[in-house]
Amino acid sequence: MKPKILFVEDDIVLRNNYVEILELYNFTVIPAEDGQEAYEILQHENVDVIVSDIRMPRMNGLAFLKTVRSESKWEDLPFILLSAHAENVDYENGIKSGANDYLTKPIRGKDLVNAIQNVLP
Amino acid sequence: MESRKNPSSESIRLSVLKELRILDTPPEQDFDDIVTLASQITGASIALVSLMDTDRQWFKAKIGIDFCEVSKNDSFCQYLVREEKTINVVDATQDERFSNNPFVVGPPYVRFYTGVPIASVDGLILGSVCVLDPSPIVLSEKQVKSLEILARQAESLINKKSALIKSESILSTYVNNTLDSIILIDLDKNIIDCNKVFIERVRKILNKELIKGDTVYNYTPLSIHPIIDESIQKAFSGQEVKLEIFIPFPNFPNWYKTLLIPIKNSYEEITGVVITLTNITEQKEYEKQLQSLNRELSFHQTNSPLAVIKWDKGLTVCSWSEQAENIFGWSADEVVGKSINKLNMIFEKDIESVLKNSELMLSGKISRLTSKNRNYTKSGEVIYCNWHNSILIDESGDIISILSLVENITEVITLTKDLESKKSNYEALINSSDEMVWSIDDQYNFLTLNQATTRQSEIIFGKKDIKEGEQFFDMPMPDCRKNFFKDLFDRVLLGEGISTDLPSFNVNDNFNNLLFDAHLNPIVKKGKIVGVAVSLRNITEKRAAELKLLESEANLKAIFETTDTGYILINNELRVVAFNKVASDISGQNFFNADKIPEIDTPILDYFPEERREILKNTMLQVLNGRRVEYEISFPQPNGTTNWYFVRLYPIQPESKIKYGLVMTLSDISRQKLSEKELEASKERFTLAVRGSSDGIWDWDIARNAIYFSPRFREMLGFSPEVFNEETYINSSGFNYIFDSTHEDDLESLIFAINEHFEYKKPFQHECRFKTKKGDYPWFLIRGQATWDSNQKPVRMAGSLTDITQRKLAEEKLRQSEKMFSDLAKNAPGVVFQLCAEPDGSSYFSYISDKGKGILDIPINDKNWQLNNRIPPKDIATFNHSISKAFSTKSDWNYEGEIILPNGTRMWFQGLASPIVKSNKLIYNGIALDITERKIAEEDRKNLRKLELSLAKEKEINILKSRFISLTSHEFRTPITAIVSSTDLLGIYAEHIPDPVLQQKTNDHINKIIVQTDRLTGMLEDILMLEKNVEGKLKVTPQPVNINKFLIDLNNQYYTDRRDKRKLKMYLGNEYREIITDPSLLIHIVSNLVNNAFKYSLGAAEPELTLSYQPDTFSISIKDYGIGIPLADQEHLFETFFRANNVMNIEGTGLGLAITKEFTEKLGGNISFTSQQDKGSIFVIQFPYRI
Repeated sequence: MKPKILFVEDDIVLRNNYVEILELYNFTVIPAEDGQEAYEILQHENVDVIVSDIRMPRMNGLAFLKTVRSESKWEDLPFILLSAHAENVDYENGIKSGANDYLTKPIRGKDLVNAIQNVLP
Repeated sequence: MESRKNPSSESIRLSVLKELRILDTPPEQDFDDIVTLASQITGASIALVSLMDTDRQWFKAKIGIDFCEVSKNDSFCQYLVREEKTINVVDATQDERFSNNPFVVGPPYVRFYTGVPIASVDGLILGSVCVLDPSPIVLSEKQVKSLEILARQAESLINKKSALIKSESILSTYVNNTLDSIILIDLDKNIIDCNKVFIERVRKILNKELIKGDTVYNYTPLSIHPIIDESIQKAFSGQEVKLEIFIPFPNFPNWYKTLLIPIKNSYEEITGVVITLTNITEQKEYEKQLQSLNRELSFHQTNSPLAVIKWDKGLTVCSWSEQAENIFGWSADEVVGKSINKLNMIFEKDIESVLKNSELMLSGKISRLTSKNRNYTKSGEVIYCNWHNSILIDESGDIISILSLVENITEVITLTKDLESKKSNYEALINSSDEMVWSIDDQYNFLTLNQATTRQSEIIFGKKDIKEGEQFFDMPMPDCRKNFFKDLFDRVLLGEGISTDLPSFNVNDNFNNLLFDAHLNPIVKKGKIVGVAVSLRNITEKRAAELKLLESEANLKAIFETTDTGYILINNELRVVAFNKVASDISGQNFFNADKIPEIDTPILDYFPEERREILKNTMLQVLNGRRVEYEISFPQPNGTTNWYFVRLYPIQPESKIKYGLVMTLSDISRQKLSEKELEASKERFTLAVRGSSDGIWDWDIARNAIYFSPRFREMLGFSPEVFNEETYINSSGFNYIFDSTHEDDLESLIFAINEHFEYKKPFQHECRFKTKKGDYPWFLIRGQATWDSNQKPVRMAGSLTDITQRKLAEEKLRQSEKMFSDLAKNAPGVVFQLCAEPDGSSYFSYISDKGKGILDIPINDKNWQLNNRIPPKDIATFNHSISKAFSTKSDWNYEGEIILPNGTRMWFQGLASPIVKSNKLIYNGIALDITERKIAEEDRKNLRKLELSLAKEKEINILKSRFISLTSHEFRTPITAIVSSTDLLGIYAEHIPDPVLQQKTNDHINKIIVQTDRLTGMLEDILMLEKNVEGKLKVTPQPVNINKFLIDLNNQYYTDRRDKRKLKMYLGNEYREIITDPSLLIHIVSNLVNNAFKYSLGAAEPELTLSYQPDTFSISIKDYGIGIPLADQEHLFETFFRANNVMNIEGTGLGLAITKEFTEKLGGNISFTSQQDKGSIFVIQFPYRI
């Protein structure tokens, strides 16, 4: 079974690129435009890891993370935040909210794959 | 044709028809209905309403045919016009009139024809209602009747139209030929229609074209809109509105008679208003002139007891009132146009003085003159007249005529004389009569008898020498007398007191020739009536005199009642003897005290207010001594008008030494006064009234030594106008009244001034203090002008009195403030000055304080000194502008600038001055102060402020820059990420390139992209970091740090896996110290320095890191063996974006060391280095153990 990744990113170029990279690295990837869509997908899809951008319309990454963590069935679901902000404050915020990792853009494909593999159960 | 009426009647018929204007008009439903009905009633296929024109029959309505007219000769109806009655033809072929008709022989082959004539109101046949059909039809009587009814219907329709057209044509004739403007407006007040006159008026007056449909307000001045609105609304409510309105069109202000008539439709609803405007300006002008003419003389000409005579400048009679005819006998026709010399109406001895007076008046020296003259009437009789003469002045102030008001006083004088003689007789009789006093007891016995009784006892009682104790009824009196007395005695004994005349008994004794009046009173002793006291006065003579007097009084009365003058006869005891109705009316109205009406034999003084009685009594006593007194008196009325009376007090028999009494006459001269006021209005404009009501007016008749004071004058001296005593008019002291009130310090100069005026005609204008009723002495300005007679003797002087207390006070205040000013000026700092502005704009210093002169080094008394010379040239324009601006606006002057002192140094000064206007000059009083210190302080402050401003600006720019940097460094990440991820994908796909060379080349380029994007990211991070620090957003979070472990972790993380295989040599020692610092910043500092050490020593020995501890600090030194830093660049090394000139080929941003230094300092440390080019560098960072 390939690990199933929910990849949440509002920028279409980035989303398509990383989906392509991850699939090349042999993951099953479900793309989502924003937290709202991702949350809806989560209702009927079981995923192994969530990778989510932070700044997004409708529901942003942090809000999505909090929503996910608020449900007990997902409290241990691996969650990686991707951000354009490279500051400590953002990092700490993300980890505090329950993210398993916090990556700063630009992120190399290899580094993202490493991070995902680190959080996979 | 043979029976045709004469051509003239045909032409009348045609003209009537044409006037209807019905020919060739479009079809109308009313007429169409008629033909439809006609066809239906008769069953004929053709029905027509036709009119017979000159040579055609025209159809107003038709059914059954297509054409609308036929030639007259072919028409059936031509016969109707001739025969003037219904024509009924069953079969036209059988009728010789129609059998050859083309419509019978040809289509539509008419057989049946019935025509009913339509007549005009005058009975002329205009046309017909007719029915035709190709088949013969026999009409019943009913059908014919119906047809006739229809014809009448058509007739009335046509004639109604005719009436309408006629009235319309009359209307339009009027509308277009009138001079009035006629406007029709609708309910929205828009002009629907108007006549040509109005269009032309609009063109001429408003200089624009009338637009139908416009609101009427567009053609009227704004000021009259409310009245127009009101009038139109009234008209809308159904009223006809008439008004005269003044419309102030620019250049064409005119009066208009305006008529607004509502127009109604047939349902009686108002649909609009017709406005007619008639220009009545000329009429108004005429009315106005007439009015003013009428006003001039109106009061004289109606009901006036005074004759009115108007003379021109040549003393020719211009007008002569009815009353003048009554007095003098000549009618206006006989005298108008005649010169005074030819009239023969002036008593010879008076001619000279009359002419002299006229001359005085015409010269303008006297405007009013009252004289008493003897005159001749037409019949040669001598009469006494009072002449009140005034001059009339035209608009330009020229004398145009003399107006004389003449009163005939002959009767008064004559009657007065008559009365005196009667009066003296009767007084004598009264004084010489004796009184009989006697009494009886209750038994009618004589108790007492006085001498007069004894002496005359025979007359009363019929017996001489009556003694006390004799029985009254034993006297030889006639029984009737005894009964008379008994009756009286008995009544008195019962307690009554009786006064009665004794009847004249018709018996043969002397008694009935004498008259007595009797007074009977009870004699009371110890509460009981014990007798009767009787006094008898022989009033025979008195009665006779009284009867005579009554007789003369009756005459007097008859005369008195015909005059308008009130007369009161007063005897030498100052009691009222007689008065006429006018006097009682006047007194009832307002003349005397309270509402008392005089009664005979009461003291005249009772009718005057108590406070006046003493003065009036003295006056009257003087009159009794032969003086004559005249004065005018005014009584303000509650309705705002003033009643004026001319009062005369004349002695009776002035030549005699016996004081008989006096006559008081009262003439109502209110109207005369009013008229005089009007007549003098123009004159007063030029003289005293110019000064308005704030001045008091006085008028001193020097000849009579009487002085008149206007109400305002009296008010000024503290008497309210209402309670003025008329006695003041007749103040015998004349001008002494004023002298008496003059302040003793001013008296001498006042008298001197008047004498100067009298003697040398020097203008009389004097300031002095007069005592007011309050007892104080306010300041007044008294002015006057005398008139002189031919002997240069002053006869009259009139003038004004102005209260100048305020001015005097102001002068005093001014003096005080001037004193204050000079005191201030002496002691004030700086330069105190007074600057005079000349009307031509130039100015000079009229005053500069001594201190100021010292400061400015001005020669004393140099009047031409100008400040301009001391103003620095660059400021001159500004300085002059500030002064001229203040001058032109008469506003305060405020100027700050430099001045060059005599020693050449410059001083800042502030000049402040306020204007006053003094005798047409603009004067500025002000001060100039040394403000050099303030200016310096201000300059400093200004500079500081500038600095602050520029700092703030810089800060603002910095914030903008920070925001920009923060935004860009974040935003750039997304595209960089896209590049990075795409490059990764390229790298993955490159693995599948079969050609190894190509694959290698591709990978090389992919690596280059990766390296460059890394570099870009690094730069972004550096910039962001630096900016955060600059912005102060970089927070230092101290925490305990194990420095050894920190450095080892750092090394493991970054420097153990370098591509060139070099390592970092670490010399950490064995010592361990607790350090409190911010590790996240420290990691930046150390890694940056280590990165540099690697970067700038490629190919050289490995860099070294040494940790060492000092007593208060610890230091980390990083040493490399690389290219070193050129000496020249060393001092700029930590500057942002600075890069040494030997590293241009090595990547870098020039930010790293700047950030390192910033962060080091943030952590309380410092950074230093030593370097030698091509040998290497050592960087040392040193920190406290605890921040």
